Amino acid sequence: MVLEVDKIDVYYGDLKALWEVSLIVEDGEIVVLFGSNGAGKSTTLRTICGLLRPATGSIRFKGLSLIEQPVHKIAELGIGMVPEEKKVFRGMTVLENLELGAFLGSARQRKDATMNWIYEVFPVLKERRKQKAGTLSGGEQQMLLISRALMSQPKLLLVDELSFGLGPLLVQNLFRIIKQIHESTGITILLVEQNVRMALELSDRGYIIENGSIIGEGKAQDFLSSQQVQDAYFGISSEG
Amino acid sequence: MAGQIIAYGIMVGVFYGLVAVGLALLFGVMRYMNIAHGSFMMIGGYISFFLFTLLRVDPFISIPVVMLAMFLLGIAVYKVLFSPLGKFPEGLRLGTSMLITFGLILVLDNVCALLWTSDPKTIATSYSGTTIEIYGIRLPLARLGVLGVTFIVIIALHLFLNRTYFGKSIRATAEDWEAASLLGINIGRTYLVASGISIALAGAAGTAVALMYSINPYGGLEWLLTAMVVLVFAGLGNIKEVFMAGLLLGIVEQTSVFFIGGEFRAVVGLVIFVLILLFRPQGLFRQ
Repeated sequence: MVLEVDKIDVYYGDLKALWEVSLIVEDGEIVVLFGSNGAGKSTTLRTICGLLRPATGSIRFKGLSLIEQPVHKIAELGIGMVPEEKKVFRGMTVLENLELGAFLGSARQRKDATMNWIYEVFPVLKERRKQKAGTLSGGEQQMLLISRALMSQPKLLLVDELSFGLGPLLVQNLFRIIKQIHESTGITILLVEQNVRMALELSDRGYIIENGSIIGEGKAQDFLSSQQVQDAYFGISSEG
Repeated sequence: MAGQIIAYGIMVGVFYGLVAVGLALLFGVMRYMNIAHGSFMMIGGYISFFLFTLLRVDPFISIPVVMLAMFLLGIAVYKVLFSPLGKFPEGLRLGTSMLITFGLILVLDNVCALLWTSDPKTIATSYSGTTIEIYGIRLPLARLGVLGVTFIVIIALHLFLNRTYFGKSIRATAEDWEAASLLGINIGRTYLVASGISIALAGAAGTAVALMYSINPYGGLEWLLTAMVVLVFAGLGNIKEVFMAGLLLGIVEQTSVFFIGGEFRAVVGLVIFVLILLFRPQGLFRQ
């Protein structure tokens, strides 16, 4: 088991956002956490990487507790995050953004090799490497965020709303690339996604979260064929 | 005569860039406004003043020593005052940092007055009155030296921030600390170093003040105002913009001294300060 989230409660001030959320991710899996807007998907990811702290419960990564670790230590342990809302360093070049991805020790030594690989996966980033990241299109910024997270050579990649604000064709393309990356590197991935159908097609397993609680879990294929899931979530996915 | 005004304006203006750049760095990285920046300049000035009067160390030679001492002081200030500020919600940090550093002014200024009296002090070197003349333009040697030192310091800072990994991590933190920390960048350490550099830059500027003007325990506020006018000109932008803004302020001030007299020098800067806040709050160089 790579990641084990056990009964975490998370608050924003007095407002309770997560109620005893538990989930596990096995080595080499792609797992999707889905649910409607404001259900607690992003909150769960932000808690795993340390930006939010659970009031109760535990989070373990390869058996090691993450509860007391600062955010940069959690990154150092091998958890990479693709944050939502295109959080590239806008005033810095594409190249600098990628370099910063490899800030940590061992990743820095293999920086050039990783970067060449990334330029193969996303040739457009190589073309634009000297451009300020803020001048990239939305899709290119998302590619840069994925690449920046991969530059740290994480063992577990957390992806927060890959489809946020992007057109369906582009999203499909990005998901295809994520799948390729997963197949070539065997990296473990936990996705949070509103575009449920596409995410399930890519994933091994899934969890449904609503109102801050996990209300269902199962194989991705079973969710895809479930009438209930189709009725509740596939409408949203076609919107974008 | 115009040549003399412009030349003087450039020398003064470049120095204003040095006065403001430390304040700009701290604000850019941490979103803290250090009201005590001018008081730290005075402390730097005192260190070089005593190195000069007691040990006969030339101020240009003592600048690295002053900067190192002030860097360490900056680290101490971060540990004691700035670091606990991080526990406040983000929206409250700027205001709280101003209140805390305002209190710091009272402490620092009065400690200086207690230790070294409130008499103004100047570093009077053998070359202090020397000027050289090029094409009829008189250039004070000390000011030329400060011009050179400022260029070295600014270029070194620019290279550090743009060419080194650690420097890039400081810029990344300034843009988005959350995203930076997710990449394994230790934000606390970044802030610590940025505070140290900011105060070290104040020390370098203070040494130059002691050489070109004079220092006294309560002299910091005037220089803080200058730094803030430059920052508003620059729109809290990058180092290059701060530098250009300083240059512009210097030239405008010196021109106004010629036309309406030296007693209005500071007033001109403040009038422009207010006008820019009213009409171009994003600064002069922003789209």
